[in-house]
Amino acid sequence: MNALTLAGMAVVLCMLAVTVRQVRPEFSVGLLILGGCAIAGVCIASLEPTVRALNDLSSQYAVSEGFGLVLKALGICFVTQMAADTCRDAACASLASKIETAGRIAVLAVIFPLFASLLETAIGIMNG
Amino acid sequence: MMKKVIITTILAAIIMLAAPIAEASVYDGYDELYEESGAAELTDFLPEETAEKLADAGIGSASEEYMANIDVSAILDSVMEITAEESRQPLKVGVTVIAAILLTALVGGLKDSLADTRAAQAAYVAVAVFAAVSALTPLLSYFDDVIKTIEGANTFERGFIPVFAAVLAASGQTVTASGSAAAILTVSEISSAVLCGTVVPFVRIITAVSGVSAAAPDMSLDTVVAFAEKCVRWILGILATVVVASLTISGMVTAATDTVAGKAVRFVVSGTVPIIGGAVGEALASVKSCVALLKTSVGAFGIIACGYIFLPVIIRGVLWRLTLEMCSCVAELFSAGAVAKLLKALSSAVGMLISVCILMVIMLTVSAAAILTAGKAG
Repeated sequence: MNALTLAGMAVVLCMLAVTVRQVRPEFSVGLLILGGCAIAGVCIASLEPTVRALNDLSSQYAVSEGFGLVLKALGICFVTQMAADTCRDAACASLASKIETAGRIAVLAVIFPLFASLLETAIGIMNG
Repeated sequence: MMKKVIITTILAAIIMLAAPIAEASVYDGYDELYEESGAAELTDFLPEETAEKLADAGIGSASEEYMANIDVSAILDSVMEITAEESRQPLKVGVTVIAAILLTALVGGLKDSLADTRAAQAAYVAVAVFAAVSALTPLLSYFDDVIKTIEGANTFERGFIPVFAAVLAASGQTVTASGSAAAILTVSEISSAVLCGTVVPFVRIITAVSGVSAAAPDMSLDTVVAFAEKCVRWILGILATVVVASLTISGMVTAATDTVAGKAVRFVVSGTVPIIGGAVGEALASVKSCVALLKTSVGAFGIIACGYIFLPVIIRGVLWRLTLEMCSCVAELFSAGAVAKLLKALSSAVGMLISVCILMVIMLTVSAAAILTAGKAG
């Protein structure tokens, strides 16, 4: 899917949300959430070839498994950000902030093996 | 009168007949001296890989036969082979780090929606940590290889110096022999002790701190790395100055002593041996030239071997530095500041190790060359 279609989708969604908000404001939020999920899904799907190419490159050069962890961390970032933005759209800023914190913790948990590996290597270098 | 003519004719005949015999005996003497001095076993003191690489380059031993026929193209081929062999690991790390930088760019490309959030900051740290782990793990083996190489060179020097000293002593330069042996051994021991015990651990600490700082992007490493570089430069500079100066002075003094001793021997022989004293003095000179040939070939072999011991780690270091600098440029291009800083710090650490290796090569080469040059005075 190209960017033009995506932009068209976003404009139509926005017009729909504005129209619905005047009649039934509670449906407007649901509409925005659904639309946002659809657009994010399309974005993530369009990233797939890039991610696959990076994965191929990493397996071709026998890059460490850390690469997968970094990809996972980035994925968490996207999902967290999407959820936080949706919460902000629904005027739930504090919830958005909490989701971001949760995302950060999740990213740290995912990359913890990398930290451990880094520390181990650093200690190995210092010990000789 | 007739008697004098007969004696002169007989002496002339003896000298003419003796000339080719003397020449043959010079070459016999060379082989004998080559075997007895232990020069034939010099390759045994080399690290196995270095001996193989030298053999590939057509320098199988310290013999004049090999040293007089050094093939530059074979050496270049072997250097190219070493370069190809050593480039694998840096290339692999380069690809990994660039992949990590591309991921950072992916995050950076979504600046408005993602880049300023707390989750994205964690992702940046993840990418920087990944780049650090990818570059540091192979660097760990590079550090070990540098130390092994310095120790290998030290082992070779311990085998090479007694042989070189024996050859120098055989050429009548007994003072130079003992002085140079002691000087080079001291140089080798002190250099490897200072470099392996002080400089390399210092560089190790800098590298480890640089790596760990990837987890703290706000940490500024520039001043720390600059300070470390300055310290290492000072240590290497002082070491080089002290070593080269002491070697040169020691070489000059001992060679001057040997020159006086050599001239005295020639004068005594020429003066005391009746009639053929002058001829014996000349024969002494021809034996000396044979020994000088051996001395030159052994010295040249020592210099080339030292170069070959360090060549792989120097080439690998240069390739590492190129890769890290290139990745740092790419990181700056994609605004991955933390990764760029980290890579620059690692590149500086590798640069310090290259300096250590080059200094060792220069010191060992200069020490051998200083003694060879000093020996020519006699």
